[in-house]
Amino acid sequence: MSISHVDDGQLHAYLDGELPQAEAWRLEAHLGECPACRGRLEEQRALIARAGELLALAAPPARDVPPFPSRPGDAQPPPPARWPARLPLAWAATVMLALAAGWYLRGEPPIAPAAPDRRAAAPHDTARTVPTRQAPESKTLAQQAPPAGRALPEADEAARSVAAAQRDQMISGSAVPNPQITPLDQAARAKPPPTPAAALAALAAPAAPLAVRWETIPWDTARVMLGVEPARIPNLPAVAKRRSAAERVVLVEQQLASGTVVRLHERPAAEGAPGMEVGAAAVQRVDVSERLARYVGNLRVEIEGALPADSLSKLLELVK
Amino acid sequence: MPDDLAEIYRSTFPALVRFLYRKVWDVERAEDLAQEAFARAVVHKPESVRGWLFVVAANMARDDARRAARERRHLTLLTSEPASAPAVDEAVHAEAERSRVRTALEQLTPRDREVLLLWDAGLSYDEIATQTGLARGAVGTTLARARRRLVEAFAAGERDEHIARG
Repeated sequence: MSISHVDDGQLHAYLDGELPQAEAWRLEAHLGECPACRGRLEEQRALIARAGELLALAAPPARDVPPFPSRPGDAQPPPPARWPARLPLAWAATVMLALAAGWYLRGEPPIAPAAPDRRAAAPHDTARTVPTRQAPESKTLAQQAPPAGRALPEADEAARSVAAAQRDQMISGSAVPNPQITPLDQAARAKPPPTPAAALAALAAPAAPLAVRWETIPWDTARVMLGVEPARIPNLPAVAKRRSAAERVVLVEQQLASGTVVRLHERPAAEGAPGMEVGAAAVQRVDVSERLARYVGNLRVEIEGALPADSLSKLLELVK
Repeated sequence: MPDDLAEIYRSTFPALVRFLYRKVWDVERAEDLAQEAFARAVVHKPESVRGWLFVVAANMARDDARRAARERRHLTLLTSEPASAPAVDEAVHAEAERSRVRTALEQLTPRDREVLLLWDAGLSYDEIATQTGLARGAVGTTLARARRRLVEAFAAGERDEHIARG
């Protein structure tokens, strides 16, 4: 291209209406006497149109402009109509509800598994004592505990904590042989590191009727089970699991960067919220002080592990 | 909130979401980030609000992408990403197109992509020059290259798919 011709940049600027007036006049004068550049002008016009089309294909869906946020982090919670779509703001609110309500209810009433499994030791006992020694509180709890699968009613806070801790450790042990949950287990279980002895003890113990294995299922299967898109935190990989084909409860497991695990138990809307036993049967093995469980609508939300301060404050802001 | 900012919000929010969407590929996330950018503008009261908003939004999107990448790494052992929703053909088609455009955009250099997205979001050459540090005269050249590469990369992607399908 000779100096006297116009370059593509000028043509684009011209077609974009961004060429300064004086340059535009010069360019138009040149185009008037140069068919080659006129041809290129049309090529570039088509190129700009095509690029615009492609970008439009990748445009976000048109949505209403939300209300103006008045302070940083003060994004408005979504209007009610947006809830069914399970949008992130709705999600933040959901998780926040779980936090607010669940924070002081942490160490929720434990499930009483069948008696043979009550051999789990107190949280800080060494693995060696697990199969043989029964912690004193354990007996009390076994007596207090209602039939398997039911929540412990109105136990005092201390007993609840101990029981929850026991349950956590016990389920932790029995979860060991399940290869599908292993990666999460290992990350989350860092605190009380599993020992071979504990694993053996768990294997030796009769299988806990409630600590059922959750098998990973394809997302499509989960969707079919629920009849709707399973709830999940957007932008975060999720794994769907179920206990059995007959039981229409879907567990969606997601892990935040911090290692915190969020589990969502969901049933088809017509069948109400999954029972407490569902949560307890899931793999759980984190220090109770860092575990929350709460119902939000028909959804059971469990959060394991610390929530980073910035997430917490962001969630708080969003809920306001 | 200052009235002029409210006006800018009305006129610029969709453009900012559009800009962010091509970075985070999630419309709700894009809206959250756009709102956060405006909320920060209320506090910082920048002189040139529009340009400032896009700078801040671009930074937030980059941080967001890093965080998402970290989270993905954490979960590589665990996850099978849920498949995209089975929907009517039209939605599947639109999703495929979007994903092809995304792939094509990702083949651009960061600067070319940034300039293209800023222009598409409605910024002027002057605003783009200020934001990217390009000379104003270089914006047209950059846009010309970015557009050509986008169109070419998209066409190449389509060709490859046809070959793959046989």
